[in-house]
Amino acid sequence: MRRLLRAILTRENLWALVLGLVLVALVVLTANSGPRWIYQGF
Amino acid sequence: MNPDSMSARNKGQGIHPLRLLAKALIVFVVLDLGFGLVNTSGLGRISAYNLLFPGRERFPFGQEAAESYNLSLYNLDAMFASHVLSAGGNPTGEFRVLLLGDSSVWGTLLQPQETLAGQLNAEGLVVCGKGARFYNLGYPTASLMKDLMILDQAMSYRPDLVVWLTTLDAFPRSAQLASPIVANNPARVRDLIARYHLSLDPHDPALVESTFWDRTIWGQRRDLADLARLQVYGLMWAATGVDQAYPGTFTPAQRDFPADASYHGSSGPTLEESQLAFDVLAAGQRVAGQVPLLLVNEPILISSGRNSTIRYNLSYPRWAYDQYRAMLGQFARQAGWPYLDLWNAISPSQFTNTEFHLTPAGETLLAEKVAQAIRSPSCP
Amino acid sequence: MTLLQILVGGALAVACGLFLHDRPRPYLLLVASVLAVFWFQPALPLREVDFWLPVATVMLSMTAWTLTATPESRRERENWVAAAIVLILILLLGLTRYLNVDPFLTASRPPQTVSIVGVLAAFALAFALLNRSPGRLNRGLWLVAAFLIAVFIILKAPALGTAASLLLRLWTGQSTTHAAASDLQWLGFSYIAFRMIHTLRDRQSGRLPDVNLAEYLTYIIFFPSLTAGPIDRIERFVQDLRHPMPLSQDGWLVAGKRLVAGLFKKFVLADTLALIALNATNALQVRTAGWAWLLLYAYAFEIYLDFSGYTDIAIGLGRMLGINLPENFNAPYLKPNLIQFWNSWHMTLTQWFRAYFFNPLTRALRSGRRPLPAVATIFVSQLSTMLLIGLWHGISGNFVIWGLWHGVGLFVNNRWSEWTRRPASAWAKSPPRRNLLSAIGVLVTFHYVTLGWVFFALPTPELSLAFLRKLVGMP
Repeated sequence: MRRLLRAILTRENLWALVLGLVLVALVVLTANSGPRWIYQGF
Repeated sequence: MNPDSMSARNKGQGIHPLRLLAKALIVFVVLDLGFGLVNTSGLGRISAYNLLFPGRERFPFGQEAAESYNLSLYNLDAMFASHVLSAGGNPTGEFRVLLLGDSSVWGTLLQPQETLAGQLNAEGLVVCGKGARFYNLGYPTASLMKDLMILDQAMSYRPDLVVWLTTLDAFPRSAQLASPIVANNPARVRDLIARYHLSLDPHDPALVESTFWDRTIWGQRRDLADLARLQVYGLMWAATGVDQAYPGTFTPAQRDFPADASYHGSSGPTLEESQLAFDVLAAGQRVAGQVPLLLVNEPILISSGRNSTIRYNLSYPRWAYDQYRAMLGQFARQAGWPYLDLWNAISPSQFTNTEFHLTPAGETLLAEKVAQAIRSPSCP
Repeated sequence: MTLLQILVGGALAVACGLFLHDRPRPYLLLVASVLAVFWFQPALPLREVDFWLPVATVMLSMTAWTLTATPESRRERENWVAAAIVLILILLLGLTRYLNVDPFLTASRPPQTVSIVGVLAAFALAFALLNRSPGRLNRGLWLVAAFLIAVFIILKAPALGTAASLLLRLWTGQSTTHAAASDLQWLGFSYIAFRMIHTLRDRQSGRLPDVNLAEYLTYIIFFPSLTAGPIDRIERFVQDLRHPMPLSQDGWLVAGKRLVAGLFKKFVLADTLALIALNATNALQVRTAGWAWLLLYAYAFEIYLDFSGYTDIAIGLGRMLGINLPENFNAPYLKPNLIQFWNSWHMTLTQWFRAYFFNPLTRALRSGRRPLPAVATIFVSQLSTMLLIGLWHGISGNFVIWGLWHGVGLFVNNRWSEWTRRPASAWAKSPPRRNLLSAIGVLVTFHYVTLGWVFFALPTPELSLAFLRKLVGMP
């Protein structure tokens, strides 16, 4: 189990996780911020 | 950052750039698709409102986010979580009153304290021995289905009274699913249709269906961004009390009209009751259960300008509105609903940019009339 | 730069690094940079001006090269080839007018081809004549420098900018009713001007290395640093251009990490903070002192993350392309005094001003017929340098105040360090005491800088004062 964890939690894999999460943050927070719909009346 | 030390750290660590990039992309794809597979419907309930900063006095809504520190979103959970209604529990001694309605209740062009809810709260009413606290659950667009959807969720906050302000434009069947917030909550709509056997098509093309791809992170990125931005704007709400962009000037509601007596494609003389969603209104009573429900026909601008003998205002020809009033009164009598017909309670000078939106003074008058009706309910 | 533009730049950098050999590389960077000048230029309400401004950038740069190059290098064939490539590229961009799609490489639909051909032909003729001139063109150096400063003043002074917009609207046949200084957004002009002035001055002092046209142009409009710096020095830049280090795996990792860090700082952190950062609208809306401080802190971190994020992106992209752009930030908010802050914030700008204004002014004041005392020299030099840096951001009362705020702060810091050096070192003998002094210094410096941001963020002194009153709970 420990060996498996050591094999998974390498520096490269951890950096890949960080980079993947950064990509998620970028994808979400750069989404369009214009109004979803325009209120016409009431 | 020193590239040499970075280089020294990486030496022997075996980080290959292309492999790193590939793995990161895999992580992204797994998270993206995984998001589409799990049920993320509860995400909207995670909120910093009523925790780090106060809840909003009315539902988030806005088109100029940078000026209003507000935005429109479709996630009802997030809308409720950001509302002061979710501040927690039902404080002892509070007579909780929920106000349902459209943009006139929400308070277009009004500050939070100038809205109907704000003015009623300022009156400091005592009802059934408890201080009455009014919560603004109005939301722009006229649709009984929209109100029903909000009421259905709001009942979990254990109100003592619900005041439902409505008007003719909320009744046509064609209007029920046209409201964007209704159209983008198809699951809730279908559930309500099924539970209360409403005469609406659960597969109406107006309902925005989401595919698996729409539910991934990529597909939902706009919704997720809005959830995050709503939290950040909460700081601005707390710091400034601003939740709406107020234009310097506005075009007053029209008082002169063309000689046109049509309403939703019909020129009368009969307003078909079957084309009006009274079943949705009736379902509201069942949703409210034991909680008393006060129905209010909200004030409209009654013009005396050109062709005002044909039309009360830009929205309503006289023939349609008069018949609607009669139908609504009869409905309330038959259903045993307390009913307040305030259609002509406010003078035309107290309307702003539409035939429904009132000035602060107009809202004060309206609040007085609603307060009178509330002062003596049947207390448990 | 938008995210898309950065990603395209990154893809180009990766392709360049993986597949290209040395010889085509400088020309690829030149072509990419010329295209970027047009692509990054925002659309303007003034018809066609958003095409002509990038053209002006390129032509100004080519002219500046002509003035700084030696007569021998001006006649070399490679420079004529580079000039032809650039002018043909501009013509091709102009021909995108006939594509039946929305403009994608230019801000708006390019002008009539006949105007473009006319302008390019006239410039090519002038360029050829200038280049065939036998001697050095030293007089032109001052002319171009003066022209750059004049344009700079027009762009930064609201009244002059509005007047210029009015004239341009008359030229384009548009209504002058809505003429405004904001009509004239000349992408990256400030940084281009600084790079050009650096080369002009270094040519005058004999320090400028011999560079060909392609190298010079690429230096001036290098696309990663086009919009927000850093301001590199040409001799260092050209060295990297001529002898690019093939990137090792570690090199790619370092560059990639820098790029990603920049993207995160700018598009995630800074853009989120921008929602709550101090601005002209919320300055008056904020209700309590506590919230006012929050808005101000948000601004302080937003401006740092935005600017340093862009720098990281530029440095990351640059590294991928084999160019080691200089650092611009070094944890400025963690510095214990204002002098060190200014050695760590927008470092290439302060280095530029130090080289081309502060040092020459100090030398002049100390070595004139009636030299100023040292303290007065420091005061005048620091104050005037910071005043100029303030005016570089915008010619308005608030930027003057901001410049003075820092100029005075630097002088006071200088004197305070002088007076307290002995007692401080006598007291701070142990590490805990030294750390305490340092921590206090960091807090004081950060808050001094942050209060200065009030004048930077808000447009008028009156509004700034009103906000400062809010910060201390006064009505």
